Amino acid sequence: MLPGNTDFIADPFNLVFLGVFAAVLATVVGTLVVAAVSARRAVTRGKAASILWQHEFEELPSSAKECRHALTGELPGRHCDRAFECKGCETHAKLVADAKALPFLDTGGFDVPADRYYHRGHAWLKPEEDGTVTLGLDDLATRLVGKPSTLDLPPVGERLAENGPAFRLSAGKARVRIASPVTGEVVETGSLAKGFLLRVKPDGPLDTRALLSGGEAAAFFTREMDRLQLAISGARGVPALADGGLPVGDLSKAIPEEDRDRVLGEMLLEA
Amino acid sequence: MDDTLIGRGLKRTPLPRFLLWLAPWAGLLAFGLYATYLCFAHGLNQTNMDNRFAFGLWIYLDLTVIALGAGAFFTGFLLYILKRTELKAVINSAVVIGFICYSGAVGILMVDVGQPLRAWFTFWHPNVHSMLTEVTFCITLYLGVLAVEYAPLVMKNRRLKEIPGLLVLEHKLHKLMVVFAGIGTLLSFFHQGSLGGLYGVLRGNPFAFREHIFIWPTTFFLFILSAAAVGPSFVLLTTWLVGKVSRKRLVSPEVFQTLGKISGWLLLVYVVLKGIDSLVWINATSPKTGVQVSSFYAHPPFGTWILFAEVVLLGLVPAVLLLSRRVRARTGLLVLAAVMACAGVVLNRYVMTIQTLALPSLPFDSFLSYSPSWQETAAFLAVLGYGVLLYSISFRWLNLFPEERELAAKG
Repeated sequence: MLPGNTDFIADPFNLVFLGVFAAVLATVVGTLVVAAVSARRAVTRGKAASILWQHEFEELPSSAKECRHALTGELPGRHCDRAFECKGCETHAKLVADAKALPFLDTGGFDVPADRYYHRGHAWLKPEEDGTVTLGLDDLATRLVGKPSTLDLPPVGERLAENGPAFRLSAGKARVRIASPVTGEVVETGSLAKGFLLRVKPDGPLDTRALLSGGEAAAFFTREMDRLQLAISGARGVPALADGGLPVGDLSKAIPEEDRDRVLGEMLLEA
Repeated sequence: MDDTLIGRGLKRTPLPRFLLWLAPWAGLLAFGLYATYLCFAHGLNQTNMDNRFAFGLWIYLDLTVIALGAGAFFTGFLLYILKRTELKAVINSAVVIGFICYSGAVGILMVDVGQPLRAWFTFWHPNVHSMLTEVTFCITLYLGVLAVEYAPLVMKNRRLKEIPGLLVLEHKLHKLMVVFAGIGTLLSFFHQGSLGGLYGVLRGNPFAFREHIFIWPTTFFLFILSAAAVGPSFVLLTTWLVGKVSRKRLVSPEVFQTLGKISGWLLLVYVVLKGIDSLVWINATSPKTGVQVSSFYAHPPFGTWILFAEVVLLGLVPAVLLLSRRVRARTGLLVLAAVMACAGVVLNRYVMTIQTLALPSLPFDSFLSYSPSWQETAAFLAVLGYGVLLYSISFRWLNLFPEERELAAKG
């Protein structure tokens, strides 16, 4: 039975004994192989970004998972369990079919241009006339980050996946990735001074169903101010921002250095 | 560099201070490795064990850490199989503790065997009549399972998860974790049992020999049950200790209470069965062999107090304490009860290993005493140093307590 082992007696008891262990070992190895093959397949099929996003989303605090229809008051208190993938959400489809366009109300003091779409992770997307889209950081994120110490943009030709990392930046001890609102290929890199950070050629027709615009975007920014207040007040010894009034230009100075990483991660949806 | 490895929102001590904390444990590990080298280079004459006292400090350590490390399999079983989702808060830490306990046990076994390069003999030339063969197979396989369970924690490190392939693999492994939890439970069930069984089948040693249920002596079941009972207590205890040392709230009090309650119920069942087993042993099993139980307790320091301490003081009392809602509501008392429960199983393993071998089993035998050599003690302490080192590193760079960030933000 076992090569080189002349003492081994292949009686039923011994065979069952070794067979059980061989079966357990085979199950462990088999499960590992299944996981590895499945992971490899997911990576080659470009699903890594989606899995990464699902993973991040699961670990976010519940305050960050509010449904877009809760922000607008249509479904108060509802939380998203689909990682903001509104495309397949039946509730969203029904509400979109029934609802009237929301008026563009107060934006909480933030600059929210109406010609852009907004990702819940605070990147904006602007469709350009040539079929490309430009991406950048929205006003809240810009004020929150202040002057970034590093800005790592992907090179031209790099592929972006919706909700996957678009670019990374650091500010002081904080280091965050900004989630991409679109799937496509980077065709130009910009800068803060240029007014956009990336120009992307989307794969196929532009799909903005998971993004916010108009009245929804306004409601989102107003609610984000509350969330920011919660995130900052979580930092011990820092007083909560007073209700009312407008946010100051450079919000980054309101966050203690040791809490910056946590607050930025919470607001820009990176666990 | 160090900052970028620490999970977002987690506060850790500055690196120089952390290195200072590691230094004495690294020293302990180095000292133990030197003792191990002596054992490998000069043989097992470096120990105070002999043909009569063949199980010493090392086997006692193995039995103890394997019992305490049962928290890993049992927490996994409760979370993934019975869906006690509140235990998500401690499962990562339980896995790390389990990995440390089992890898420490396997490491020290390699030294004990004396010829680690021939370790594969046990797999290729298995003595299928020995309980220890089953133990070896199970422990080795289970250590592999624990390594698989530990790997996703490493892959979720803040920097490593930026490598897309690693996080995807972690995701896929996590989805299959129920398989590993099931296998872990099966393997733990058998090796905990066989560790107890190997004493219960010692027909020539009336102190250890017990009645059999089918092919298994009662110690087989008692070892499984005692390990499952104290596993959650040890997870509770280590979580509390880490919280105290790091001055952080790591889990909510409800998690401590759940662990305490589970441990309390299992401990109560164990104590009842252990009590019945002891009564049968005192009144039937031992007298049948011609030896009265009182003779086992006639050799100081092994008096009857040791049986009382094991079953009542460190068994029944902590079980009752853990089952009291009032006690569970007070963390100090809860921790005290968990310490007592763990001490009970530590004492049980001591009695089964050391007292069994110390007592005379033949008419011409005499009571034998044994004290470990410094090399044995150093190798024993090396496991402690290794455990603290690995746990400290894991605590710093891996997210062992998912609730920590939220609790820290609440202040």
